[in-house]
Amino acid sequence: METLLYLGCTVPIRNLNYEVSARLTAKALGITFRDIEEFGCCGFPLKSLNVEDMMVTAARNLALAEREDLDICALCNACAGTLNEVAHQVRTNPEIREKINRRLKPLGLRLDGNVKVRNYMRLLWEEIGIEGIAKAVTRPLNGVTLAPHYGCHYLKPSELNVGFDSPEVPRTLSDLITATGAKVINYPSLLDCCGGGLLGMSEEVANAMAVRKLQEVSASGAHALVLVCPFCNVMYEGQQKKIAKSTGIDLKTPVVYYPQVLGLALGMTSEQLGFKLNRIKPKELLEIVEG
Amino acid sequence: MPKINLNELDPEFKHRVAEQPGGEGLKACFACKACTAACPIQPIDKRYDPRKIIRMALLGMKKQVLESDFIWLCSSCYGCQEVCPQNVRFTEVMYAIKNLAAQEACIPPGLTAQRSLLKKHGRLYEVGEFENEKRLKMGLPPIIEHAEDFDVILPDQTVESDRGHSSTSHNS
Amino acid sequence: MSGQVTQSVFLKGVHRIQEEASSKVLILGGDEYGIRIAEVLKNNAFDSTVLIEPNEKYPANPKVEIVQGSIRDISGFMGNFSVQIETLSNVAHSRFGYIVAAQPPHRESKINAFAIHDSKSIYNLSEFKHYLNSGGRLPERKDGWRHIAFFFDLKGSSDVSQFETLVSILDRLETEDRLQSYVFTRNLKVASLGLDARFRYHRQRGVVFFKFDNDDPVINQDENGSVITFIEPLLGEEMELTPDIMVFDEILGPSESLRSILNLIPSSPAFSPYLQPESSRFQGVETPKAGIYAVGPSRGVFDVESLNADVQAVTVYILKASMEKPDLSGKGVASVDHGKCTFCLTCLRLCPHGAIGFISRPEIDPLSCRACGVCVVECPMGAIEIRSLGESTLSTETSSRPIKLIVCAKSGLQAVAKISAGILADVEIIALQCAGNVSAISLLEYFRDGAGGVIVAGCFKGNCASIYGSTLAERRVGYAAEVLTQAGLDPERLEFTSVAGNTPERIVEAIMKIKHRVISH
Repeated sequence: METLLYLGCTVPIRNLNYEVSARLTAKALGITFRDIEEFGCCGFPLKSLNVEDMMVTAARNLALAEREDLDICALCNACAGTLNEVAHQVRTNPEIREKINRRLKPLGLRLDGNVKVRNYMRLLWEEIGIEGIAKAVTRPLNGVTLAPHYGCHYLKPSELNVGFDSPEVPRTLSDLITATGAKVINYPSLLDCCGGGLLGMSEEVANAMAVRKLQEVSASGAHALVLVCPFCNVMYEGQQKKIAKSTGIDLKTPVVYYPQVLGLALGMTSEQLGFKLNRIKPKELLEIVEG
Repeated sequence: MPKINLNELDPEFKHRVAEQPGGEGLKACFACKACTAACPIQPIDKRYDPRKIIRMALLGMKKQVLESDFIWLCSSCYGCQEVCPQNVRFTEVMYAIKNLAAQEACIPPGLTAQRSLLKKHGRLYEVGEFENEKRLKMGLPPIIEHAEDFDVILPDQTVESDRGHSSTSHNS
Repeated sequence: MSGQVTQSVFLKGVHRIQEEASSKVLILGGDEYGIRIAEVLKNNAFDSTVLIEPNEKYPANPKVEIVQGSIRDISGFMGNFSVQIETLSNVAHSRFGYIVAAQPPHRESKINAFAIHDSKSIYNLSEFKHYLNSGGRLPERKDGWRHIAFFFDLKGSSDVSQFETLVSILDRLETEDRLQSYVFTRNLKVASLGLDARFRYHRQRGVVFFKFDNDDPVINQDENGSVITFIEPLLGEEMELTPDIMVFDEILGPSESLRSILNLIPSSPAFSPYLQPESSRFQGVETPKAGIYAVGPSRGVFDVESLNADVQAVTVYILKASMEKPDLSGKGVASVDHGKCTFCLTCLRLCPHGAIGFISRPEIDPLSCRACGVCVVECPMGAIEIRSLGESTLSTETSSRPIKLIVCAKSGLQAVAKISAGILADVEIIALQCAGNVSAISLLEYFRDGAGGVIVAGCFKGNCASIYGSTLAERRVGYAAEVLTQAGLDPERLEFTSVAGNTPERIVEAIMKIKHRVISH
């Protein structure tokens, strides 16, 4: 199947390991990612200042996709959530549709809102399926234990995710992980918010939100924390050292992206999947898988 | 603490919040406190209490709300919105309140900086040769900025980013 | 007759149903409900007179007869009430078949409870509603908003009808520009048709509600106006408000003019000031006395929904009563043997249903008598009996079984049906119309005739259809126990227990207690 790959602002600059592993695994599973050069920011950082500005910014990307008559696959939870929300509003609310299109007119663009937006994991779940992934696995990750982190915008607002996953008892990411042969741990702070949205506002508060999960995963003995969003990465990987220092808790939690895990199970090397860029090396994990 | 004089508050404020996109659900709140119970920020910073913020808005405490720094502590986790029995949609109400604060020129500087970046580069992170070289090494296609569109769709703002300063600001 | 108010128990005229009176109804109270009742009755071929207090206002309404005055004297029974009405011009004497007490409630403002005095910008709820409906204007403000403060359910519980009035005022104020309403309350009373939805609508449109658990708001009043100081219940912060208008709720109670009707029912001290006891034995607009009906405030309900229901119910009850054929044979009701009567008037003063009157001698009205048997037992001469349709009223065959269980038809009889035969072995059940028909003598006679134990099961206090029938029964059980003690017999073999139709376990408990007593002694 063919879909547009939406990278957002952070992934293509700060999380190349995520992008590379996503592209490689998609190819291996028969998904064709197409790029649109004109894609820009989704607009999420503007929402607090002016909701309509955010909507127009998102609508621009959606209109470009609609022009190509293709769906969007995003790698960042915030991007996926923002684009999805705006597509939904434009599609269902005529007043908003008119307002947005009036502002898009100078660009020569128009949006009706008929663009499906999913993040990569949802696309895998819906298009390839757990059975499809399991079938494609050539190197099952036996002996590997992983801790999933869904993130807030993957599951909520729930009305945009009807029929996909539950915000209270989610399972899709766990299922995607177990399809690779790895084991999944369930832990109390599974549904915690990473606090990434607040890092710019107050580092103290943001770090306080990330502590519990890092502590639990660290103590659980899981080989890595599995993420699906670069925002969450900024907190759990980027801030891990600072948090360990300020709380005095010994944290040694390797952080990986799901496509990296999937890629290993599909037989790719850690080199190919950009593991060099993972700041906290998942040594044990790679030892088990690659020897 | 001095007494708050209701006669000096703004009964119009709640209607203004409700008129912002996303703020419509504010007046449906009946103070059940499910939002506060679900909020991950509340245990960390007691000043951020969704139920209290709604109540302050409903009572017309415009100044206390818009000029506060705690309204910027919402992490938009949607936890409150999921549990609200009245469909207040508090995450969206917080955005509406923040939008009003922005109109009154009460904005944390970080956000204005982000906006400028978007207007200038169309992205939060500038993409130059260095970045594309790194991408090339990993077999990834280059990123080209298309900032001109953003300059068109994002209106000019002559807003002081410091709180409390009066300034001119206009929306589209 | 002289000009004084005479004892209401004395009948004037003949004790028999007067044909011309039986289709006439006296309605006390001339607000919209009283007048509506008169209109509905008129459609059902009843003539009614609406009696309004001298200071009450009423709309000009040619469709029903309205008299302005007060009751000077009233007596009689259903089908034949004799009423003396004093108007401005004269005193008139009339006869009515039925009496409907539909007076509007007595209202007492809560302004005093807040220790402030009345002023131009202070209103009661009903006052304010009337003011707005007759085009009253709100104060103007050139700049800024106007603030109006309502006080509800503070300093004492308020009726739901008051909240109805408050909400209908909010309905009216919705269209006012730049007007902020605040409601200071303890609890919101929304249990009335559609009231909850209307309240939510106003909360949604921006009316502010403050709900206080403790620490009521304080009002300080001076020559310039009033300032309300309070601690905001949700924020915990101290706030103050200087309102343009303050509106207070009222305490509602029964009308003063119910007194003369209450005097017609000897048992009324047990349930006054309202005309209907609070128990479930009295449904709809029923009172203990036949022919007298209590509507709305007369029976302690003030809300629109109940009042509308009562207006409908009155006609149904009167129609039903008018269609019952009077059985003047005397069967199934109490009657006095005038040979034995000493005119002590005990029966008359005790009858819970006000069914006994005195002309030249005590007469029991067959339509009003409920055959409870209170008078039968209390008559010191044993001059009253209830003649049944069969051999004896409701008692089963006597046997030589050791334990006598006396139950009343309204409670114990139903409870006993749920008790297993095993427990009822050696128990003889005697069923009466009312426990009030149990005499101390009969209890002693059971023991004399060989009973091992006696249990009297009456209805719970406050739930007796004869108001104090079971209370009297309990007292008589006490007397009998005293006699047993003095005679050297075991008083613990005699027991009184309160029961309801769905509490068979209480009877079982009593039976087991007595059986144990019998065995162990």
